[in-house]
Amino acid sequence: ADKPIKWDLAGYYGMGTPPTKLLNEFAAEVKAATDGKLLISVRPVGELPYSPPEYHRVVGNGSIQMADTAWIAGDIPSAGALTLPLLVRNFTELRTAMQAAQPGIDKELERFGAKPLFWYSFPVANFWGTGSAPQSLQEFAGLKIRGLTPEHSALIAMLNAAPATIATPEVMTGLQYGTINTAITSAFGLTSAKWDSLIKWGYIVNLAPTPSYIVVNQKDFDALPEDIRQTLVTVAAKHQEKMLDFIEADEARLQKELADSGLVLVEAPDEEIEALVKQVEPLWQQWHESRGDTAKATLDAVRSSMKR
Amino acid sequence: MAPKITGGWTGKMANSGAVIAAAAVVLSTILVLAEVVARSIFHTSTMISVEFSSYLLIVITFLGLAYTQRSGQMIHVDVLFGALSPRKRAWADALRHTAMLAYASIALWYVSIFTWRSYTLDQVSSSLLRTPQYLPQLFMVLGLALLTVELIRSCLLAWRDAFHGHKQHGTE
Amino acid sequence: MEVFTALGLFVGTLTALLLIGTWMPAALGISGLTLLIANGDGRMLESIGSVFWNQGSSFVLLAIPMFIFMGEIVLASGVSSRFYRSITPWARFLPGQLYNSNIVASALFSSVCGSSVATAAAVGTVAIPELRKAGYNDRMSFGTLAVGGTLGILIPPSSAMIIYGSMVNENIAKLFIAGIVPGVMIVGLCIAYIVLATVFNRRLAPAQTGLPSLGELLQSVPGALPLILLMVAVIGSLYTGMVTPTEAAAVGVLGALLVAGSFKKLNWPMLKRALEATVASTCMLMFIILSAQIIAFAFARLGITRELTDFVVNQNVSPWTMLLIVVVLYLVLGCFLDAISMMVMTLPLIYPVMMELGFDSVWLGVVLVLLMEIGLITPPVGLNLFVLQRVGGRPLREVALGSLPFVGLLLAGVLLLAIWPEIALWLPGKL
Ligand code: NA
Ligand code: NA
Repeated sequence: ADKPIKWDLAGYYGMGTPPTKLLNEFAAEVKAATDGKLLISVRPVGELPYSPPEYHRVVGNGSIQMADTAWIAGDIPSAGALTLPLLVRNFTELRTAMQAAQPGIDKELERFGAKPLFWYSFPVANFWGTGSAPQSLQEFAGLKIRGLTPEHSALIAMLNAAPATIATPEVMTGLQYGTINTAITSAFGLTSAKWDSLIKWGYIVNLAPTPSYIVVNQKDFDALPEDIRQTLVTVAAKHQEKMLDFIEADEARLQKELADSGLVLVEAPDEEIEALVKQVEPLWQQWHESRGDTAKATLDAVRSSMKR
Repeated sequence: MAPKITGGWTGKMANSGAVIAAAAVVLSTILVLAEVVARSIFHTSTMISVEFSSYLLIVITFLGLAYTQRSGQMIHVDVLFGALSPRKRAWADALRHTAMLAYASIALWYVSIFTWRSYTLDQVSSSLLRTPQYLPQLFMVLGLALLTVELIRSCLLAWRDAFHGHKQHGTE
Repeated sequence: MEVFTALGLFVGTLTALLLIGTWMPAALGISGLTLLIANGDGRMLESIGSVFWNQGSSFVLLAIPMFIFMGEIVLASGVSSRFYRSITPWARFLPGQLYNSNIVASALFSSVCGSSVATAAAVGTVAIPELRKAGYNDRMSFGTLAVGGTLGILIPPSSAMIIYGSMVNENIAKLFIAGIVPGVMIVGLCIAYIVLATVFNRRLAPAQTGLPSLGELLQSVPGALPLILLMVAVIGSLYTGMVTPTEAAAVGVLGALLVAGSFKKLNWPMLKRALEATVASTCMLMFIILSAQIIAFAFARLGITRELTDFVVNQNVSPWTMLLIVVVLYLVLGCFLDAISMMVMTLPLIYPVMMELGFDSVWLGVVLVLLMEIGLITPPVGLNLFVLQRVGGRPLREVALGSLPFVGLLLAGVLLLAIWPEIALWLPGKL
């Protein structure tokens, strides 16, 4: 028999985390469905010396065959259209928005020699903080909030809070000693980074999901025998839905668990969110003006699919 | 403390690299302090401190390499090497210089390819500044090039000493 | 390639390169590249660019040059020598006198300096002439200075803890705090040993010169205070939430400049000397860290890390056996490698196994740092030994023999930590 094809998949998360487990299930099913002809090893983040923001690049140049990559809006501006604050607010909307964004993202990834095989998403981000819970967005004034994108920083400033730029490994210390008191992330993000022991409240406005793309080297993909390639695509499509469903449910479960253990969860009222959307809309516009043609078209498509 | 190095244009180049690296030490300290002041006094963020000072670590690390190597401050194991007769040590010295030169040039080659690709792919950082990545990466290329030049020089000297059985030339 | 063949090839290449005196980064890097090429992964060499770039542009590692810079300013401005002389009257309370000053001065100096070598150099430079003048035993002087210097990476801030924390994603501030009690414990063990040794062997130290007067003790304050204030500023700014660990290093640099200024030692030649030393130490350390990443990459690529981890886990070794394996491994490697190379090389192998066996990751950080401290004072390659050999002008053998009893003390420290993990974990748990 032919020797099996061996691929590595660089993960975004560490050993034992849900996404890594889910990707392992994906790899196991690929192995079973191809009769062991395609073997994918999932490498948790840190095992290989690449950092997630450049995964699309090392996949593209063939250093590694597959990767799970997120936060790539620097190189793939179209991906940034999906993470603008309050534009896409839940996984149902994301499924629609992704259809609108996919052509742009595909085109921008192609430049690197990478191709998205499927995608899933980290849960929708919210504000999570230490100290006493704010009861309205007015009470955000003076908080020290760690954002992740320029748009987050602008939004934080609109709330009269202080945006802080802190490297991820220092966030834990920052929260512990009060260098910052609020982080933009999800319950899932909190628990996987072990920040949850410090967090006392969550303020739910449903800022944005962070889609994650499983990319594959285009040449390696094209070189697969036809039947294996078909199988891979089919299994991928199935796991895309499976992962989205799991993560959505898991975030709800984690939020409930955190609330049950005494964390204060505040749901922002609809009027407050609508008022905030009016405030952030100029940010979408600014983003549009400062990006290239592909990204502009992507944002237009996403906005019209969201009717926002 | 740190030996002063002089002699020829290679020495000047190594020194210039070290001067830039030293400036980067000072600049990164100032940038990081600026972030502390911005946050704790003005309740805002410089937005650039974390990203720029990370690039400065690249500058410090790579531009100081040639100086560190030339002034004999790169660590090595002295167990056997130190116990060899002068004659044998001259040969070992030539070999280790060759190994270091090979490593530096391989690194220079692949780091250059890496940086070139960043340039042709228009890579920018995914953080706040969208800095073109080839710019800070060029410091890796420059630093490794300085190191390679320095090693070509000391490698030639080491082989000459090995063949002529001269005593150590003293770059160690 | 089969795992043990690959390991053999790797160890062979590395040993051969190290024996001919190849500089550490090239020895590490070439061994890693050899593995990749032998495995038919030639095209993976392109990853050198990614490896250097990713690990090199790390904000967290930026703390290393800044803490070194802080230590060098203190050293180059002569503040450290004034500090050593100031605290000597206090040592007269104990048998062994100045030997104890060496330990205490090193402990205090190391707490404003992330590096063991800088600590040994700073205290050694000042202490050795004083010790010789007063008729102390050279060997014992070297031993106390060498081991005192190692405290630089145990007592916070510590470059080794920063690297450990950034590699395994552990809270660096917590690691710093966890080093304090073990640091004090090592100081206690050393002082106990010095007292016993000098009481039983009177020739080791001159007779006690009588207790210091209150006046002498008060006079020590102005010389000792600046360094203590600097320590409070660095640790305090971190634990009051003013700054993150990397930022604390920058605050330390500012503080060191103020201290130097207060002694009227803030001038261009001093700064130049400090900067030169900072650049050289940083380049040396960072190039080793980056090159060792090529090995980590080759190990991951060949699946060595994973297979060895599985192998050990499947053998059902007990946690105690595994700990013993780690201790022996570090003792052996520590003879030949410097502390940082040793950790970056072994951590990808050891860490998953130790976590699997239920060890605490903060505790492991402290234990590994203690083991690295041992490596700093074991021959043939021990950086603190080299520093003292240079400062003291005696053969390496003398320095190494003097340090030998203290290797035992540090090992005792590891044993105590293994029996009572609370020694490391109690204080972080309180905060
Ligand atoms: Na220290
Ligand atoms: Na050693």
